[in-house]
Amino acid sequence: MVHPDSFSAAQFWRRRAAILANKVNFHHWLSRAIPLLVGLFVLAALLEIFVRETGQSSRWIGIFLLMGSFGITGWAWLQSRKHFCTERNALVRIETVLNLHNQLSSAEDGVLPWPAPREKFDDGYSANWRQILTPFLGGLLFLWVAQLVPVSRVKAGTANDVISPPPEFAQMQTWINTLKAEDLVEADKLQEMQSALDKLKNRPQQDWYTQSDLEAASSLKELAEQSMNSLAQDLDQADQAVQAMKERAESSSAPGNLEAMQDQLRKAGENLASGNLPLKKELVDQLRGAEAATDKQLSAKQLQELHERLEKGKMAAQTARKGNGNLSQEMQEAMAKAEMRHGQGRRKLMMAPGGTGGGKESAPLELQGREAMTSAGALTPVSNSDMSHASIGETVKVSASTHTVDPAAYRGSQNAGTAPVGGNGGEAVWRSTYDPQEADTLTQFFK
Amino acid sequence: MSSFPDTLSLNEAELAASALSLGRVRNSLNNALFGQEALIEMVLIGLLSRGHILLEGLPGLGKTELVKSLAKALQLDSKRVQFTPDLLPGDITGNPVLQEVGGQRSFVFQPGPLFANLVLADEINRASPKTQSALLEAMQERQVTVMGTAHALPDPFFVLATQNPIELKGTYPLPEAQLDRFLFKIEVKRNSVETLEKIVLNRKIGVEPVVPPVLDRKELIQLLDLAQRIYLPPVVANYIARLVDATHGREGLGIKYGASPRAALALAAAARACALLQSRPNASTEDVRLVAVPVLQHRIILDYNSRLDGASTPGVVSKLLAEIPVHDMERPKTLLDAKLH
Repeated sequence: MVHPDSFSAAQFWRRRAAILANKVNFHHWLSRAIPLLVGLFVLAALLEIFVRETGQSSRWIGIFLLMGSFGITGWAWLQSRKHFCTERNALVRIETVLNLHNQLSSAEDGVLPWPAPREKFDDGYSANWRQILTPFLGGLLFLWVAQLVPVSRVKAGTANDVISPPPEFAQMQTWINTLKAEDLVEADKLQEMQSALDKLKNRPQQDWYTQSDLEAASSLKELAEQSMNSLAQDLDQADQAVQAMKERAESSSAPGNLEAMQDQLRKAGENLASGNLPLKKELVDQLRGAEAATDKQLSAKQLQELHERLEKGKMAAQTARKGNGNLSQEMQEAMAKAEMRHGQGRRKLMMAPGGTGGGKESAPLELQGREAMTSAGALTPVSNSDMSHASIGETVKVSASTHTVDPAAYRGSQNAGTAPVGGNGGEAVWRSTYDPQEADTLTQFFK
Repeated sequence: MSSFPDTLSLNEAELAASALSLGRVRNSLNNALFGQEALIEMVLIGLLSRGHILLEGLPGLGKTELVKSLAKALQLDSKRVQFTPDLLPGDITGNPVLQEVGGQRSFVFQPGPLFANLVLADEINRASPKTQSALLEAMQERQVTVMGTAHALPDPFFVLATQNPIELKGTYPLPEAQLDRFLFKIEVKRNSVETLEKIVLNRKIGVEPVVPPVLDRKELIQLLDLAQRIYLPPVVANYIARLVDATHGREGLGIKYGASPRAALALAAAARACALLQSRPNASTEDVRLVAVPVLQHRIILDYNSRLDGASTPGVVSKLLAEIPVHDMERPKTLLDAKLH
C-alpha cells in the first residue's frame, strides 16, 4: 500500500526535479551561447568603428546585433539539447545532495514511498558568475569602446580614393579633341570614337585597371592610332599629288605625268573617304574635283589653297598621334600621378604573360637578371683603336689596352712549394688583378 | 517510514528483524575485537553478499581472532587451515581412504577442512599454486571433486583467507584469476593507542575472548536471502557500470588492466548487503562508494610506471570515485558544483 501522502510528496519532488532540470538546461544553453555572443559583440564593435570611419548610419548595427543574437540563441539551443538533463537525472542529483540514498529514484520506480517534502532545499548548484559575466561584460566593453574610441572619418573624394584613369583615356581624348578642332574628319565617326571612349570611362573606377578593361582601352587606342596613321599617310599622298599638280600648273616645264598624279590623288582620295577616320565630305569633293579636272580648269592658286588645307590636316594628324604634345598641363599631371600610383602594378600587369604587353616580358615580381644591373658608374672604360667598325655592344667590356706591368717592381716574399705564388710578368697580372666582370661583381657587393 | 509498496519483495518487519540480528552480531564481534569496527562492518557485508574475503595485514592484528569470533557468534562450523608450501590439495579437500567393512574393501571419501561453513585459510599465499587452485574451485563452485566425484560444500560456505604483506620470500602470490574470486580484499589496519590500551586492560595472552552465540545457521541463511531481495535502482546499476567501465583505459590513472564484469556483480551484491546492514530496502550509490575500494582494489592491475611512481590500487579507486559522478548528468561550465562527498 502506498501512503496517501505519497501523491503530494511525489508532486513536490517531481516539481523540484523539473525546476532543477530547467536550471541546468538553461545553463547548458548559456554556456554555449556566451562565447558566440561575445564574438558577435566584438564583430559589432569592429563594424561600429568601420561605420564611424565611413560616416554611414549605425542603425543597421543594431539590427545586425538583434538578428545575430536570435541566430546564436537558436543555434546554442540546438547544440545544447543533446546535453540536456532529464527530470530523472535531476531526481538523482537531488537525492544525492540531500543524502536520501536513492530513495527518490526508488520511489519514482514505484518501489519505495516518496520521502516527505523538505522545507529547506538546496540543489547544490550555484551560478558561476565569473564564467558568465566576464566574457559578457568584456563583449559589452568592446562595444562601448568602439563607440568612444576616436576615429578619423575618411572624407569621400580625397586623393586617396580617386582612381586616376588610365593614360590611354587622356591620350585618346586629346586626339579626338584635336581632330574636332581641325574639322578634318567626319563628325559622326569622331562621335563613334568618342562614344567608345566614354563607354570605357563610364565603367566603375575599380574596373579601369582590370585586365579586360586595360585590354579594351589599349585596343581602342591602337585602333585610333592606326586610323590616324592612315589618315596622315593618305593626306601626305594627296598633298604630294596636289603639290606636283600645282608645280605643273605654275610651270609648264615642270616634269611629271598628269595622269599619274591624278591617279595618285584618286587613290589617296578613295582611301581618305573610306578609312576609319574618313575625311570631311567637302574636302574629299575638292580632291575629287582636282583629280577629275584638267590642269587648265584648276588654277595654281586653287591648288595652293588645297595644298595648304591638306598640309594643315596632315600636320594636325601627325602632331596628335605623336603623343602627348598637345596634352594640357593638367592632363599630363594626371597621367604622371596615375603612373606613380598604379604604374608599378600596371607596368607589371602589362609585362605579365598574356597581358596587354604581348606576353613576352617578365612575370610580375620576377627577380631581375644580372644583365639588368647596368651600374653605369662602374663600367670599365672602353678604348678601341678602331672604332669605325665597332658597335656599342662589341666595345663594351672590350679593351685593347695592355696592362702596365713593371717587371722590376718589388712583389714581396715568395713562398716555395704549393704556397700561393704571385707569379711573374703577365702571369702576375691575371693572378693578382680581377677581370672587369669580377671587379664589377666585387664593386656591387661592397657598394 | 511509510509502509512499503506491494511491488517491493521486502517488508518492514523483515527489515526490522534483520536489523536486530545484525546488530547483535556486530556488538558481539566488537566486544571480541577492539577498535576494528570498520573491518567488522566489511566482513559482515562480505558475509551477507555470500562472498569470500581476503584479509591482508601484519601478524597479530586480530585477523584469525575475528574469524574465530565470527564462527562462534554465528554458530557455524569453522575450520582453520594453515597454508604451507608442502600442503597438498588433498589435505584441504579431503582424500579417499581405504576402508574394510564386512570383509569388503572400498575407498571412502574423507572430507577435508574445506567441508565447513567458515574456512580460515591462514597465510594463503604460502601454499603451492596447485593447492591454491583446489581452493579456487571450492570457492567458485562451492564443491570439491575427488576421484571424479563432486562433493558439495555445506551452505553457507565462506572462505576468509589471510595473507601477510611482508616476508614474501618463498610465497606464491595469488594469481589474478584467484584474486577475482574474493569479493573483498580488506587491509587490516593497526590499532590506535586507545585501542591498544583497551586490549591490554581486557585481554590476556593465551585466553580467548568469550563470544556468545547470537545467531544460528538458519537465521543467517534468512539474512542472506533477504540481502538478495534488496532493491537495486537502475541509477545505482548505471553508476556501478560506469565505475567499472572507468577502470578500463581511463587516461592518467595508470591502470593496465581494469575490473571484470564479476567486479560489477560483486559491487551490486555488496551494495545490497550494505543497504541491509543499514536497514534500508534499497541499495544506493553511497553503498557502492562505501564498498568500492575493497571490491575493486585487487581486481585492477596498475602499469609499471604508476607502480614506480608509488601509486596504489586503493588510491586509484579513490581517484575514480572522485572523478565519476554518481549521476550521469553533465555539469555546464556556468554552474558551480557544491562539494558533495
